[in-house]
Amino acid sequence: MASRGPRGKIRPPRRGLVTDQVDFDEVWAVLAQSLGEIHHKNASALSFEALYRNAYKLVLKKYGDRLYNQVGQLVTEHLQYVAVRDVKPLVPSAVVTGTVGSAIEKRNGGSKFLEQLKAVWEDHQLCMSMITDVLMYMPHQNRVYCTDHKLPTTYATGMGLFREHILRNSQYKIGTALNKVILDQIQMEREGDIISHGPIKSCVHMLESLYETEEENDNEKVYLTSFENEFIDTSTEFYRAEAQKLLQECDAATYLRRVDKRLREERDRCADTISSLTAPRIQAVVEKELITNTIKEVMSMDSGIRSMLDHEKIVDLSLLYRLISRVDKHKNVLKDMACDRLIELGRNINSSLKTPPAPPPPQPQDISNPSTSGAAAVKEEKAASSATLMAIKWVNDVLALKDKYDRIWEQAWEKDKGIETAITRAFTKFINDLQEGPEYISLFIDHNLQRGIKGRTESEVDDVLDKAVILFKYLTDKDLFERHYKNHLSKRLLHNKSLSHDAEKQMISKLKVEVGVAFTSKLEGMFKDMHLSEEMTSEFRRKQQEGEALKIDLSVNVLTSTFWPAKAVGIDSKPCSYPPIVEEAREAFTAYYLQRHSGRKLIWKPNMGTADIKVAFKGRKHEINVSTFAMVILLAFNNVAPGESLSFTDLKSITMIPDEDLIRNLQSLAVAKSTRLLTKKPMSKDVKPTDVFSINESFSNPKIRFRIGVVALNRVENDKEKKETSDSVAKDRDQQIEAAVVRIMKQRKTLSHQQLVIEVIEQLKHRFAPDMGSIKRRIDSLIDREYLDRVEGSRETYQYLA
Amino acid sequence: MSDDNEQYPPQQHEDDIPNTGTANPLKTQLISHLLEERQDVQNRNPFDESEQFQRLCEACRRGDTEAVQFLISFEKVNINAVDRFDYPPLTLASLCGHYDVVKLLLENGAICERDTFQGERCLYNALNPRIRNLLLQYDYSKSSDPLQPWASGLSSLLARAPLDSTDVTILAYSSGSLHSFRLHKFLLSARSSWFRNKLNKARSPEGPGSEKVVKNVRLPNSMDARAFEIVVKYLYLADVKESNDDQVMVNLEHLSRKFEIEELWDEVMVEDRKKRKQKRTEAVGKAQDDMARWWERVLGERIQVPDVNKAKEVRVEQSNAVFADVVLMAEEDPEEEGGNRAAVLYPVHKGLLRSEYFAAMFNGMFREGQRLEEGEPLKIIPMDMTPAVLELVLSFLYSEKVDIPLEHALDCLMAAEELLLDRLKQKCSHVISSAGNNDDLPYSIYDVIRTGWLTRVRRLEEFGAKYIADRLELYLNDPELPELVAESADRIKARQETDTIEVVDDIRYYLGLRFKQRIGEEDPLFEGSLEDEEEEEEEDKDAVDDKDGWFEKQEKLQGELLDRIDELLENLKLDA
Repeated sequence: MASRGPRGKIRPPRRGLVTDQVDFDEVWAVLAQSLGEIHHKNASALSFEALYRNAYKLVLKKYGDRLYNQVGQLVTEHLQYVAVRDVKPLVPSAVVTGTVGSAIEKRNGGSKFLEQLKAVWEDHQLCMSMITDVLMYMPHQNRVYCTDHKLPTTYATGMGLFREHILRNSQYKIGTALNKVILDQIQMEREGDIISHGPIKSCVHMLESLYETEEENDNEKVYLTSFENEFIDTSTEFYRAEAQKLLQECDAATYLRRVDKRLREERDRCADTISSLTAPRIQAVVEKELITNTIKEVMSMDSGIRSMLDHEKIVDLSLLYRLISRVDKHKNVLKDMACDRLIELGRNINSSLKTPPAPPPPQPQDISNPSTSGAAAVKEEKAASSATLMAIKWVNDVLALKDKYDRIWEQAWEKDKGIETAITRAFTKFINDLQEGPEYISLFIDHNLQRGIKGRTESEVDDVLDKAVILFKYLTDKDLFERHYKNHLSKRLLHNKSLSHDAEKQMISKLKVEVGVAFTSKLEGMFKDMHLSEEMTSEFRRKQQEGEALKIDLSVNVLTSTFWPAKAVGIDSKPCSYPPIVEEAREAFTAYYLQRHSGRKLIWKPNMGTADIKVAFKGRKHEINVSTFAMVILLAFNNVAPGESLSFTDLKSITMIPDEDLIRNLQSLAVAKSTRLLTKKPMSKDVKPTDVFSINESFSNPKIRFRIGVVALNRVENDKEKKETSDSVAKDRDQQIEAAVVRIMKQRKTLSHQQLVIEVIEQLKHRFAPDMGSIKRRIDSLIDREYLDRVEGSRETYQYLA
Repeated sequence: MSDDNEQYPPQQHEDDIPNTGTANPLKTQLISHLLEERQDVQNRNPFDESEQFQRLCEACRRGDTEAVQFLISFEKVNINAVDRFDYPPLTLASLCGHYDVVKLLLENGAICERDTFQGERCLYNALNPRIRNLLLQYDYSKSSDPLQPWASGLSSLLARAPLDSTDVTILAYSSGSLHSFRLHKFLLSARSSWFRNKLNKARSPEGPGSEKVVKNVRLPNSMDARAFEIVVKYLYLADVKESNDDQVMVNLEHLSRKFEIEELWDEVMVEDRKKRKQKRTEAVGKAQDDMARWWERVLGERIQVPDVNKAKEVRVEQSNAVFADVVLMAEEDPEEEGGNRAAVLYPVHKGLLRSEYFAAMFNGMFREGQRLEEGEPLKIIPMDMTPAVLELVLSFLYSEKVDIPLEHALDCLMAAEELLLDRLKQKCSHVISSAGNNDDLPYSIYDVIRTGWLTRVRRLEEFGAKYIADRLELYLNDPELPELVAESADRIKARQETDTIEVVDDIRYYLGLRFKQRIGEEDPLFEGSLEDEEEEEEEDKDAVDDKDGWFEKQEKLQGELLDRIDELLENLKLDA
């Protein structure tokens, strides 16, 4: 196998592309001429194949770099020529860029400039893409050998040359003129002129396609580096002036509409005239100049937010909201100003109560004054009902305000959560400003549960109650409300004035939802008492029928004293001596009750009861409903011969009724005209201890059944009651604070003052808002009584003493 | 797999007691299914222990694109095999983040199928999203088929991008409305005899002499447009899908018989993914045959012109028989200096000339890109290559079915370089570098090496170095060799400051290989390792207690040759 040596023959290289020398200058001369033809728009006569082949040859033979440079130079020369031929005559005259000259001249001159620049640009683009095609082979060769010294692509180079030689031509300053013209045109459009967008868009497109460097970084577009800032600056200036102008010329609503329009204009402008890249920036400018900086001023105008709110301009308010949302996601300005107005309106409602225009002006009457006349009593009743009217008016006004703000909130403010909170805060503020707030709300409910709901459907009742609950929610002193509500409820229950137990229960369950079981347990207890009493009465009657029947029908309401308001139950009322027939029944029931519930104490409250009595005047029989005391008084006359009379003192000794009640009942029996069963000597409106009474034989009344009321207790509390109420409220609160402190400390053992206070407030917030001073006093008192102690060494920390 | 996923978990809960496997039919079914799947995986990705495959894996790890290229072109390794860790090369390359290698592997048929174990693993292992996306691009429908680039080129004709070369509007009715399809007459003729007849008849309704340009064809109403749409997709090798509409399916069956493409019906009806893929491969193969036959027809239409200067007078009408829309012209090399140059004109179809080069040519504003007026003959575009080479290029573009004779391979490679046809370039370099040791190279080896340099095909440089090394004695006397060495040195100097000269290094390397092999071949007793050069030399001396001094002679020859290379370098005043 040694013969396996080298064999074959050596072939000489062929003539051909691989070995042939290529004369760069020769080939380039041909190529350069053709590229020149491209520049002169004669490409359709050129053969791509021939051009490509020449370029290919040069690149293949490693003349790529030279070719690249030569092409760059060729393009440069061409652009310099173009600069002189096409661009120089374009440079806008002072007419176009300056301040002189009419709008039409400006517009036409500007458009012409833009159109021509665009044409130059498009020519260049086309030429460059053709040249790039011709040099297509270059990147293929570069891909492997020139990776480290990366040359920009032919196209990018061409674009860069355009930037340097046309746009930034140091002689003609095309770029500056271009900016000026575009900005001028935009300015004209902003001022209401019509301009044509096409040429601007093309030129902007050109700026967007050019980059600062040949690396073509996206954030180095010439548009961004040379144009956008100038555009933003001019726009800022324009809108600053615009803001001042609009503030002077427009009312608030118009102002807002203008701003909205401007915002839309700028957005559209970014879409069809300049670049959408600018949209966020220009929007920010408009927002800053026309909203952030001025909105407060706009809203404070006469036609500002006040008038919009007052006239419920939903569209304007909604626009306002949208505009403010753009600049401030918390919408603080809107919140503040809307709530200021709300509080103002609320306070107006409050203060309109203080100076009520309606007759009769309520005069505080001290009904405990024994010398109060009957007329005064009537007057008092009127005053009381006018107080109710006032309460209803107040509640309705507040609800109307609430409805209005709700509508605005819903329709104009997109149910914004932040605003909702602010509105709630505002309502809370002015509702609690009014001392009588809790009482009024309770009165309102009382009114609606008594008479107001007659003939209304269930859902209507529900609505009214819901509204009441809304206001209730705003109350901070919920314990005060509870107190009033208890009073009103007890009256409704005992006097049987409540028209619907369902509605009552609904109301209570609504309150329960709001503040919890603790708050309503006593109210529910009251209902339970009424229910049990009813059962007990009927059972008592059944039992009585089995045995010796009583001469009278007795119905008893047994009330648990802790559930019911002391005032309603009349803790200090004294018993009276009953006529035997009544006494017998009372004893029978007492026996029955104690047998049923041993160990309880039953106190009779004659001042709370009523009785039906049958009486005949002039042969005509009447059935009259009177108070228990009145019944006792009238029965006293049963033992008196006709025509004889009893003196005040006689009556007092027979009946043992306390003076105050005796006077009140005699007033209604002997003074009030329509119910004058007794005659009094002397005739006067006041009842004096010296008066003498007899049966009014000539009494007549067209009705067979009627009712004689006792002069009612005032519906609105008088000063003394108020003081009592507030005293007992304060006492109550103290107890609750103490209870809360002890509860918390028992659980935590030691706690800092700050935290303790916070927790107490948290625990009590459903009932009332305790003030710091009283919490501190209660803590001190608890320390005195050795429930708590200060932890040694740190004064601000307490510990619980078991 | 998805079916199993649904069945498997409940199984685990139910089988608290160890199961023998036979008791539960579901489990048996599952196991047999898994086994089948495994078999499948093994068939597709066989374990390969060969040295070449290991080198391929290593190259994939390192990201050595050249080596990978070399191995898959020359060594014919199965690029979908797996190493002993069950890794196929594609997964290795994607795991190691070598984008170019991944691309190369995918282009050469490496499979990455979603929903298969290996495929998901490969995707999951991709180092970065760029590679992952690349893998997804080559999902199964495309990857495993080396004809894929060609097939997708055909279907992209429908998208009419980058070049709209459609020349006929086919109108068809479906449920009362007229649908129109912009299509290619040449493709319809190539792919369907029905259309060939139809279009030919339309072209010359009254026999020869009455030719005209057909612009519209109305299909008979019996041919439903919606079914026809599927047929079109099939003809253009786009993805065909079954229609939900029964009526369309009925019509489709009718059409597939009418157009004599029953296999379309089969392909649409196949449920199984794998079988469908197979059908698809068959369909592509058939299309390739169709296009190859069409190319023969086109070749039949070529026009020989004895004098290139007269070529301009040749008119190829727009109504030509093969529906060509452009004419390419190639010149013969002159037989004698200054003699007439003959030329050949080929009426061809722009749509099939798929390369960046042609796209720029026909889309541009240059002469070639101008639209034809009515009655204007087709444009004649001279190509810088001989007719033989142009035929190879066109044959490649038309059907990819091309056998490149060694004789033309080098010219064809240059042509491919100029026309930016990378795949053809690869093919040519493959042909050249697989030329056997005993083949007589029809051109100078220097040309081969220089072409390798110019066209950046490293394979040719290596081949050239090997070729010279094998006959170094001969070449050392050739005055061209120093020139080549000097050129090589220049190339390197231009690149970076270093002392090695590539071509010399290569020659030395192959020289070493040449002698090593000889010794190995000559001595059957010799069993030493061939890999370690030093060891070899030592053992050489042991073994060379030779009969007639052959080994010694060889060794001496090698030393002599190496000395002469040094001498050559010295003369060139180069250090290496």
